[in-house]
Amino acid sequence: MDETDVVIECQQGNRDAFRYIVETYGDTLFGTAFLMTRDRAAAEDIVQSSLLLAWKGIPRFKAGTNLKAWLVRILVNQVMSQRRRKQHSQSPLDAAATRPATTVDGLEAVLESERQQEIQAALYTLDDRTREAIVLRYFAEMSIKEIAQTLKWAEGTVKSRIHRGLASLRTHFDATAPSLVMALEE
Amino acid sequence: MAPDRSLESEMSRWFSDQRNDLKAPPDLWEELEPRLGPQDVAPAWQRLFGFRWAVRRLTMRIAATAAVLGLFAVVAVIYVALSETTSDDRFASQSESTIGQEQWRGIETDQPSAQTARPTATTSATTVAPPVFAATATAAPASAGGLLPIPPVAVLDSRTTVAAIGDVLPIIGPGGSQLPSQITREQAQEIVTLAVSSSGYGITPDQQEEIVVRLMNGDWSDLQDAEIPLDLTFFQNYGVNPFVDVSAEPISTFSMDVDTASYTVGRGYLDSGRIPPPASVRVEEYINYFDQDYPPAIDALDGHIEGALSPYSDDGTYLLRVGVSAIDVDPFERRSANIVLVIDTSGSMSQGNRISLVQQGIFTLLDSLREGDTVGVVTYSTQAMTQLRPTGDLNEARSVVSRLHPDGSTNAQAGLRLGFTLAEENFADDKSNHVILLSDGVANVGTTEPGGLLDDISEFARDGIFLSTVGVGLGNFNDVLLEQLANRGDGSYAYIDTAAEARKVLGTDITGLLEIVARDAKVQLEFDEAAVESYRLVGYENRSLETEQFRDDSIDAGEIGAGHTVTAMYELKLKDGAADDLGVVRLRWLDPETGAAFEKERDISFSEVDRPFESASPRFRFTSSVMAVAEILRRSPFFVEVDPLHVVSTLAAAVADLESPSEERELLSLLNTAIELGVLSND
Repeated sequence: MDETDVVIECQQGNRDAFRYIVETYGDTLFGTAFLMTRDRAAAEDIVQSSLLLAWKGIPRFKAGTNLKAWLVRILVNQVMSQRRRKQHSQSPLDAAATRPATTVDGLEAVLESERQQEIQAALYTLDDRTREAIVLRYFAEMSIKEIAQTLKWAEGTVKSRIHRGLASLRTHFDATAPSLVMALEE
Repeated sequence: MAPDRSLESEMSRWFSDQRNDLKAPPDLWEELEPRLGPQDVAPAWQRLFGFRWAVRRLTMRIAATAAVLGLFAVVAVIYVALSETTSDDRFASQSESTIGQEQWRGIETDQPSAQTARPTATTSATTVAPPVFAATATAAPASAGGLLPIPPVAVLDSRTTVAAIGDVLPIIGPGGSQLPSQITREQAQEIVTLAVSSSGYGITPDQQEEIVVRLMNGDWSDLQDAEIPLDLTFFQNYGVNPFVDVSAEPISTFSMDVDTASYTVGRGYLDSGRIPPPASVRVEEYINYFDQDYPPAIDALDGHIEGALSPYSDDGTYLLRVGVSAIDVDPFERRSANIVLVIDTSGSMSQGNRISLVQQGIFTLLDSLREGDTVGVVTYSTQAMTQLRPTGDLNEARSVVSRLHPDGSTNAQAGLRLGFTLAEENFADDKSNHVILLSDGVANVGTTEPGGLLDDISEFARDGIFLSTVGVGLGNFNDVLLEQLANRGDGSYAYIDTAAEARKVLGTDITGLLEIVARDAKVQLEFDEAAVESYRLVGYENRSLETEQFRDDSIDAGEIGAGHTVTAMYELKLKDGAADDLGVVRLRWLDPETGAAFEKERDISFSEVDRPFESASPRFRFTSSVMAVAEILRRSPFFVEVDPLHVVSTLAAAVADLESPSEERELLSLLNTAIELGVLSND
């Protein structure tokens, strides 16, 4: 069954078809949200609310167009609209609304090597917008065109943001992690 | 130095490792599935909606054209009548003296206020003089017939109903997400109530009964045919200001308004993937929700002008932004406050997180109070009760508020009366005396008609006890009641939907609420016929004033708190080869202490608006875009041809250029989601 058929099934209210979509793209969505927020509980909430919106909106989604890009667009918008609310310090209410945190297994496991920690740290020295572009490019593996549509930027802006992002990562490594620069030069 | 290429491949490798490690929670689907709800729109019905929408747009265009033509005729007749009774030296009392900024001229207000701010404030300056415009005071309202009505038809469609069923199921069902095969009358009534409030309109009891019966019979799928005439409104529709011909009516006057609730309500809808009901959208409140970056005011109020060509029309329409900023007061230097909280603890407040939002907000408020302030607490459900007599002991207040427990019906009138009684007993001349009502606005016992309470509240405001209102809980939230109450109480009206918003309204913004720096503040623009063909004030429909009311200080207008900003947008059509002088803008307000009137004015020149949109400041472009968003959401006849995508793109470009956008970015992302979901489109 190809993806267009799955979408059409969803549009007719078939939950099993939607489950297929959730299982196909769940990891990409969660990972993208996590890398943008660096907060596992927030990423889980964002994925949930994005998928709820996607279910509501899928009757108006044009079957045959890029489903992954559409899902990521919804997700990125959710990340941004929730960011403001998170900026005001976490309140007891917010805390009560989130589920009890699952064990923090991912993050530590992910960051085994020193180099990975350095990259992760460097990634979070970037401003939000640049980091978003880089996450979409290298993690969600979206094309420049898809990123441009998702972030509502011109393609040139996406290219220059990513270029500048990489340059700024390099500067960061130059300053803080000469070992990494050497590793990269090998 | 490592070339980017190798860094890039390193990044790719790192992210590829991340892909192996970052997995969605295993129970993602299990968590999600029960929350899905029925599919929103059936494709067949969607096509039907598209057709209806096209017809509606066509109808509105015809109505708009007809109304504008009709208006010109009406205005022309009235103008002729007025010009016979009004001499040309209406503004002869002005004298030029520079105050504040260079372009602004102070106006000697030789007809001081007819009212004083508080009962004991008597100064020699406040002798009552006849209003300057007495000769025209009885003239027919020139703009009364000028509003373009949005067709008074509420579409209680299957989409709204299905959405409401989705909202209700967790309440009525034993955890299931399918519509039960049998629903009780109570359940059906609850669904209808929610569907009606989501649509933003009211219906008659007969209509409600019909739909309830259809729901009980499982006969609800074709509800889109049930076009229900507007009856009682939750969100009142104030129409849309039309273009006004300058040769017929050169003067535009309105009362300043710092309310923001309409935007917060709309944001709640967008956040849940829905479009706010058109009647809930007040353009000025969308605009005023966002901070402006006007320079700090030197007088109590300062004005700011910026303009550019409108990107939303191709006929050379200009946008003019009239901004007003109030002088800021250090939170530590504000007057002490006597506050009485009147808290709705009726049964409806137990829905969702309403009561905890209220508690959250009050705790923030208590945190921002300081020595010398007092707070009292009244709660009301079926009856009103004094929970705490006014005291400076804030810990006692905290403990009272933490024990709130919703129960019973809603007697808002009794609650407010008791609140004002406490405030009156505790009245202090040298303090700010304020009653704050926190409610979901549903008053089902006592006088639920706003009119019953309003007169008394105006009396208290005149005596120096102000009333502000804070709404919570989308659903059966009664927007009109709370706005009207605050309006009469010379306070402000805000809506809280999140803990963050509660902290903003009752924490960050509290100084502006408690420290009023200008009372009965009004704006007037007089356009020069030689330069301006016509103008349209976008928003402020329920704040418009007659020309002569500008200098009539007995007319109630907006109260402006410390640090507040007020912004109005005009659309202007200019004459070819226009002179540089477009007109004059005037601000008038009363000193809250003495009741003395202040007025200042400045010219508006063509050079201030003569620039392409792209060259205007980011803040101007953002504000213009918010105006356009609100116009589209409220289905303004002047924006039916404008592509929402175009508006969102101007908004995105402005946000990209702003210094540190936060709430601005949030709006952008909400609109982007609405576009992705296909709910915001013009086809």
